[in-house]
Amino acid sequence: MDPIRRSLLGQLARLSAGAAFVPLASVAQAGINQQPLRREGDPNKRYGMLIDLRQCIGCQACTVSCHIENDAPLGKFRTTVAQYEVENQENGELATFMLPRLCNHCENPPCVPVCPVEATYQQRDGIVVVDSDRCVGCAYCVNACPYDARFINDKTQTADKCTFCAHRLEAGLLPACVESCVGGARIIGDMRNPESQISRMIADYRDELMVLQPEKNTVPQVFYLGMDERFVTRPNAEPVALEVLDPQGQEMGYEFHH
Amino acid sequence: MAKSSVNSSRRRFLKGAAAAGGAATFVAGYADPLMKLAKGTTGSAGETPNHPIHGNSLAPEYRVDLDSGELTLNPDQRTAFTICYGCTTKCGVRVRIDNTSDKVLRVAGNPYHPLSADEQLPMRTPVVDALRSVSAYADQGQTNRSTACARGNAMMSQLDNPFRVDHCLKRVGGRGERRWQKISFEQLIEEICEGGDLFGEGHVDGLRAIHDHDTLIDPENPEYGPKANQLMVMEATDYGRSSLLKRFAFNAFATRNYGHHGSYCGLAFRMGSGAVMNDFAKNAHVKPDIQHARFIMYIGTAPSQAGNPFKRQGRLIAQARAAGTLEYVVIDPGLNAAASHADDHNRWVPITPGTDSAFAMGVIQWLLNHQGYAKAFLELPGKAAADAAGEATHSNATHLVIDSKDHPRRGHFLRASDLGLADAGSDNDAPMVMTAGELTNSEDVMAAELFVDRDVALADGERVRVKSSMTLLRDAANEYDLATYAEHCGIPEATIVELATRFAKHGRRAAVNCHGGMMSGNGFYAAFGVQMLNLLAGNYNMKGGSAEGGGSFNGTGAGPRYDLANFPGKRGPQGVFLSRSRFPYEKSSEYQRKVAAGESPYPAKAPWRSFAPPTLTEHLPSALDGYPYPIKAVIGCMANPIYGQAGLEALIADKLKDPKRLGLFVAVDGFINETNRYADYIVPDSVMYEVWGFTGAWKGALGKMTTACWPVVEPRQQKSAEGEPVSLDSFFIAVAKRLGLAGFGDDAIPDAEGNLHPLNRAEDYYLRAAANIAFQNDPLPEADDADIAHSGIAPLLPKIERALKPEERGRVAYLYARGGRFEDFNDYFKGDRLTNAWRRTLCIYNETVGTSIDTTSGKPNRGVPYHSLPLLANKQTMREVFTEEDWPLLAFSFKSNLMNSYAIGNERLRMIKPYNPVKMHRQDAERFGIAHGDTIRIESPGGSVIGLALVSESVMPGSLGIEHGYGHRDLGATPHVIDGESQPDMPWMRAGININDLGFKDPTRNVDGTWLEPISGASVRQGLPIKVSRA
Amino acid sequence: MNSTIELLAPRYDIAWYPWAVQYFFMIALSYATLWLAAPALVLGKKAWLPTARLALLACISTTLVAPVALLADLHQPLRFWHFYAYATDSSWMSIGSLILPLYVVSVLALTWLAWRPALQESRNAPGIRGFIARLLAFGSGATPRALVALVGLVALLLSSGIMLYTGAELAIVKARPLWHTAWLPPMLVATGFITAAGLLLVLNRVSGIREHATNTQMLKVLLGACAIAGLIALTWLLDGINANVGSVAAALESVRHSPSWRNTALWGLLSGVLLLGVVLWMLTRRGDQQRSLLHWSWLVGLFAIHMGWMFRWVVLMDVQTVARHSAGFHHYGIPAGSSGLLGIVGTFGLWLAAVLVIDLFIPWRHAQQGGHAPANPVNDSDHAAVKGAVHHG
Ligand SMILES: Nc1nc2c(c(=O)[nH]1)N[C@H]1C(S)=C(S)[C@@H](COP(=O)(O)OP(=O)(O)OC[C@H]3O[C@@H](n4cnc5c(=O)[nH]c(N)nc54)[C@H](O)[C@@H]3O)O[C@H]1N2
Ligand SMILES: Nc1nc2c(c(=O)[nH]1)N[C@H]1C(S)=C(S)[C@@H](COP(=O)(O)OP(=O)(O)OC[C@H]3O[C@@H](n4cnc5c(=O)[nH]c(N)nc54)[C@H](O)[C@@H]3O)O[C@H]1N2
Ligand code: SF4
Ligand code: SF4
Ligand code: SF4
Ligand code: SF4
Ligand code: SF4
Ligand SMILES: [Mo]
Repeated sequence: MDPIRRSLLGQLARLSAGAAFVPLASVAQAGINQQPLRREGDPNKRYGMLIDLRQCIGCQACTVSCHIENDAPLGKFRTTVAQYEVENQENGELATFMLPRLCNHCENPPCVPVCPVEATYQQRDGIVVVDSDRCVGCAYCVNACPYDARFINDKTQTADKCTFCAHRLEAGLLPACVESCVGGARIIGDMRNPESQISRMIADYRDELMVLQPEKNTVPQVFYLGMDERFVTRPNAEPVALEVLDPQGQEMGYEFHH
Repeated sequence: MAKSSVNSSRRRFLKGAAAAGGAATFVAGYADPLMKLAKGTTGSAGETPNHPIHGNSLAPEYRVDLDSGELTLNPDQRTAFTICYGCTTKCGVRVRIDNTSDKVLRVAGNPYHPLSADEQLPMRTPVVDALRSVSAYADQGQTNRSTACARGNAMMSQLDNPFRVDHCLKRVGGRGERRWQKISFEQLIEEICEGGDLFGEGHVDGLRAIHDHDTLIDPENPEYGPKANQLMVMEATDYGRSSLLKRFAFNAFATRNYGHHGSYCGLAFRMGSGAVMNDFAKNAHVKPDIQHARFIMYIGTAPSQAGNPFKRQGRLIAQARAAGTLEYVVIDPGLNAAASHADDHNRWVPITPGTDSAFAMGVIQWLLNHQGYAKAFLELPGKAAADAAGEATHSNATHLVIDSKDHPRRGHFLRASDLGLADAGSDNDAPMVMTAGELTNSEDVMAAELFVDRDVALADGERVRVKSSMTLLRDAANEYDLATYAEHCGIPEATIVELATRFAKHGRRAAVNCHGGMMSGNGFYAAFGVQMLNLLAGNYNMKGGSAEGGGSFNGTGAGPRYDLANFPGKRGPQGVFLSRSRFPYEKSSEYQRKVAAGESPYPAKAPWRSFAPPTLTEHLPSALDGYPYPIKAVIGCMANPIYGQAGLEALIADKLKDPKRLGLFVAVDGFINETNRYADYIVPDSVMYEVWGFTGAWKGALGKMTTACWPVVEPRQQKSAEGEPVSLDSFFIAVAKRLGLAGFGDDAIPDAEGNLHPLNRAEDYYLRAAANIAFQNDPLPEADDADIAHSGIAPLLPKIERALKPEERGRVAYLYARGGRFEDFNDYFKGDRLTNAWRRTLCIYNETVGTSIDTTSGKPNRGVPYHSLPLLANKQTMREVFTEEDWPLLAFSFKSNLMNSYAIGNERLRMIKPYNPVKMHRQDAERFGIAHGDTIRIESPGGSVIGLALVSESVMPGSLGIEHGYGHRDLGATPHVIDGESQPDMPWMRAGININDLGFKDPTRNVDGTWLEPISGASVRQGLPIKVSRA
Repeated sequence: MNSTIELLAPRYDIAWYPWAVQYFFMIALSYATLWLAAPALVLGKKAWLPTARLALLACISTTLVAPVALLADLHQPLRFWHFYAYATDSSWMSIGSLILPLYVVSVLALTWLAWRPALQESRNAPGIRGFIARLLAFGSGATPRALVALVGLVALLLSSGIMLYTGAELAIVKARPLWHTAWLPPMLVATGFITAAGLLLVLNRVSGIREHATNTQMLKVLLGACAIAGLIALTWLLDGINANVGSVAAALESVRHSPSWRNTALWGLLSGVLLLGVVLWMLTRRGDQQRSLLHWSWLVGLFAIHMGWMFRWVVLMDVQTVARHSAGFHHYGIPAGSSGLLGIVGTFGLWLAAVLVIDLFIPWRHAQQGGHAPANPVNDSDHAAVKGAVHHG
């Protein structure tokens, strides 16, 4: 992708450009493929997450603690942290870029309306969940999420995804990934409460915050501080080497491939 | 017609058959859906999770009301504080445990613990408040977190790791054949103590026979000491139980030969630091006060990639990035997680492996030539001046060193006694300095000249040349010009100057930090030079400078409640270490004999290192070659030198298999690793969360702290006949008791009143140590019921009651309820100075080094840092022996931020990073016709491995980076057979490569050894000569 | 070589398995063949009767197989009833789940009506055939032409629903730019007709009917469908060539970065052109030359089918391997088992079985457009095959 386009998207990605808090944006997509009514959850809250990339050290504590807390199958992830080696556009110096990702609990989630049985839905507190009793495992939502935030859980044979650890939020506790964020990069909270840490940080950094794939008009509610515009969309990079070699140099494949 | 009807019926038959065939393939092809349909009749084609929305997410450990903050415990779970064994950072963690299954559910950080918490809670905080503090209540848990890293989270699977050793094992067949039989703990103890023909390979001396303090090992060389030294004990490092191990090794059995991983961890760095801090006893070192520093150069250490303390440094550097208070550079052959693209105030500067002395001396040269040093501080000649200046210490920058070549006092400081102004060794026999052209006693003046180079007359009238330490340093720094330094280390001259300028600009808030990167062929002087920068900046003991740290509360000394350091019948070890350390070769019989025979005493048969600590890197190879003397038994505890020391396996594996070279090899361990694979017996040890002990912070914690470890879950392994879990503790207790050694069994531990108490169980020892800690300084309060209820220590209480006096119990409970004892956060600073200060004289010139002799060349060692290229044992440069033509690249290793040296068994870590491709520079790739993603063969003088090339610009040209933690052959990578039953074969645990397989035997040695850094004897793992080709 | 390196990124599996390809393939055949049967069945065009017979056979068989493949792509197949218990108007898949059964029923009805007269005829045939005929004929009452036409119209209407929903189901997925274009649905339909025409050419040969009219008609359909497909592809390309987001951009990016995508694109283009060329050439031949050429039109048919299937494979499988928020492409190797090759072969097996069973027990070859008895008895296909007689129609 050409640089001009990237920075265009970069602009688009900025909160100041109104990439977030536009619930009306969903109305733009009137008629078919419009999200069914939100149900359950506290209507007075709107949960979101802010990830301060300057404080992400790429330790993967979030990935592992989430995996344990939520019993994800080996090889499937509710959250991941990708690692890149990037050239600084000003001085050409190389540095490491960490990109933690999870469900964006989009204000206009494309994964929800496609569900043929309304098994996945958005709570009134903004959290997008899946009812595994109703889910038929058609994987339509998995394809419909632009962020690879969903997967079919091989154990339950139903769709699985980040719930913002709703079960912990309910108990007045923090999500596993936030609780164990070594660098202190992940901040979750109720954005309707102006006193919350996340509200205050959004206020302070509004112009610097970005979201992922703004052009998809999903209105993500996971905001990034210290984001490089080149990464708001699919990065133009030498893809990760996925080979796993044994001592003889034979490719072994991925142990946890399904 | 007939024909056609036959035809048609045949055709109809064929069609029918085809139809049937079609239907059949369909049924086969539809197998999965059919199965799901069948399973679906139960309501779901998969497992039905606990909750339709939350799936199988764990039940919360407690609930906190977000309005009132009221906290309600979940009765089915408990949260307890203990230690993480995920790496040597040894963080304090909070462990969530299911009360019914006793399974660990998840692990996070202990909020009282400085290594886990942003700002740890004051010690006196009630536990319930501590639990609340990590909740969402008022965002507390994320404004001040206490975390466990990825490994710290994943490590809980070690408890139920299928490859865990849970039973006493005795080898079947030859050593290293990976075949075992289970035996009882009692049989194990008997065989180890009494010996005999244990394996049908002939008689083996047991520990009883080896425990001989009356017979010399070798009358020819009496300094080697008694036969008892033929037991060698080794461990990884102090994971909290070393004091018990040493009590056994040094003071009960009393062997001289105890070793730990230091020499293949970071010894070259530690000694370089010890040289500056004037402490070769402990090789003290410092860490930058990241929160207040303005400029830091990380040279061969990578906070947030690895580094110790891993979590704390990673977090502080991250916060400093966000706060914009700190600018730092990472000087490293490879780019790593420390250099963050999300922020502009940090930067990666590539350097050629093994050349740090060039960089350091280059910077020193610039600083000296541009007054870029803390002049006022360095001019302080002695304690008096330091006190007057309000400094905790001073340096020897102004002290004069006798520099006349053949003078007997060459290399020594010019002292008052040399001028007849004091008796040698007396209190006022201080080093002399120059003030206003006058020789003066360093304690008599407030400032002295930094650069002195002149003749002086000694008391006996003899004139000698003296130079100030600063002058010696400047001479060394000026041996090469900047351009040459730049050329050697690969960092452009301009960059060196720029970094030096910035370093100088930030004065005493500029600091350097180094570690594993110094494990190179000139590591000691590299580290000496790098640490010298801290001294030139005068940043020791300064807020925002270099911090010594708070140390720990020692419970195992002569404490307020019990004396755990002394006991009736205590012995001290005698004789020379196997590694010939801390003993001047010149005092050895070997030396005397040679001199007497009129031959040159140099080179010694193998290196002797007069001021290096005992080094495991030499212990094993030397012992197996019988120099200085052979040994009869090894007990290894949680150590894996064969995986961890470059080139060791190729060097000793065959010798280790030979019972004639080593009679008995006992391993105490939770797992079978690459080293104890060769053991005769394996004692199943407790695994983290099941262990006792006390650990301190490695460094980097500004306050005094001690982590208290206790079995928060019941140890899973075999129990002894007495019902005690078999473990390191119970093993040494049982051995000592069987051998009737002092300090164990009944009447082993004196209390403050001198009454003796038993040491029959682990808790007899550790709980008394806990009492000592709880009662130190101003004693801890007593735990209340709420503390006990919220800290999950209920299982511990009966033990406390059994072992301790009533007045001790409450305070000890208070300690364990908080996972240790920690100095409060706000006690760290006094003004712009650190509370916990380093008080010894800091060394520009180190007299011990400067007066020591290199036993392979007979030449004196340099007392100031200087630049040299990596050296082999005989002081040839590595490149003279392994030329660039034959070995064009230099391999270096860096720690995985995820996988440590024994984490490979953790599925959740393998799942994220199953493999370690090697970092290679594009230029080199092109040079050798290698493309990104190619499979390549990497060969060294010592071995050859096959890896996957990751071609980029994120590594120094000419070097090849290998992430450490992969390429295992044990710990599950190869199945062992136990009682005829094979462990599962897990090919993926063999994945990847270990740079140590590329290590090699130093060809310039007479007694076998791997490539070791000359001064320290540290294993060289950085800058190994290699060549690569497409595989 | 790129200066940005991806050091660590998770592996993602595909969400829809080859079952989806099989469904989209079968259902496309189903609706397209229905339309090819229409001229005769609905409008009563005599000239299309032989074609209609083949088309109806193809239609009913694929209509029966398609839902079976669809069910298999659910991880919770037995929960299919949730589709009806919790129908969701915002989901094209839900809408589809409502249309599909109605469509299947309409096709069944239509087929029954079309075959009924023939069934009535062979009621006294020996053995099972007679038995089945008696069973299915439902008495000797006449089959009103109008009814056939009406049911036909309803079926056609519902089939358009199928065309719409299968296309829209993919086209609305923003997350997969390559799907997210209004041009995909029409393209699916066009390629559907290419495939259907191809199939009929093949059936025309293997059934031994070897109807000349069918060959020419289908070649013409092919010509038309190819032209339209080509046109759609072109407009899609021109429409998006300058946009830097959207499906064209995504396609170009894939083609730029992946050799396998380059090959795919090249293959698509070449086979399209080739097919168009051959068909044109065949149709523009005259007299005997054409006649003898048309013997080989079944080969053209096979080629057309392969195009239709491959197009669906690329769209449904390959597109899923394009990474969405990491670099490059995810690896997907077709597994051998049920969720892969075996499943694919299995669905074809089921279809073959269906066709053969019908051929064995149902006199589809004698089917009329509703009502009238055959003017002159149609030769039994077996004989025809034996004689290899050429028909005039
Ligand atoms: N994640 C993780 N953290 C850990 C541990 C772990 O196993 N995993 N272990 C702990 C232990 S025991 C220790 S000792 C510490 C060690 O912590 P560190 O010293 O930070 O780690 P190392 O990987 O030993 O080496 C540090 C860096 O030196 C670089 N290097 C290699 N050769 C050279 C050289 O010649 N010059 C320079 N300037 N740099 C060079 C390597 O690329 C590496 O990035 O980490 C502790 N923390
Ligand atoms: N190439 C290269 N080599 C290196 C390094 C490097 O960065 N690169 N790092 C070096 C450094 S810094 C160090 S400190 C050394 C470390 O090397 P060592 O300290 O010698 O050994 P470790 O690999 O840390 O593992 C110690 C052993 O303890 C056992 N163990 C693990 N967990 C438990 C437990 O819970 N209970 C019990 N009872 N046993 C357990 C396992 O068998 C493990 O093998 O390696 C060094 N080697
Ligand atoms: S990130 Fe994906 S899964 Fe999450 S709400 Fe947005 S579209 Fe849905
Ligand atoms: S997989 Fe489940 S949640 Fe997702 S769309 Fe299908 S039914 Fe809905
Ligand atoms: S919020 Fe919970 S589910 Fe979501 S990524 Fe974090 S830990 Fe996982
Ligand atoms: S835990 Fe925090 S710092 Fe570590 S990788 Fe995840 S987001 Fe980054
Ligand atoms: S840094 Fe991580 S692995 Fe090491 S001790 Fe701390 S939590 Fe455990
Ligand atoms: Mo270490």
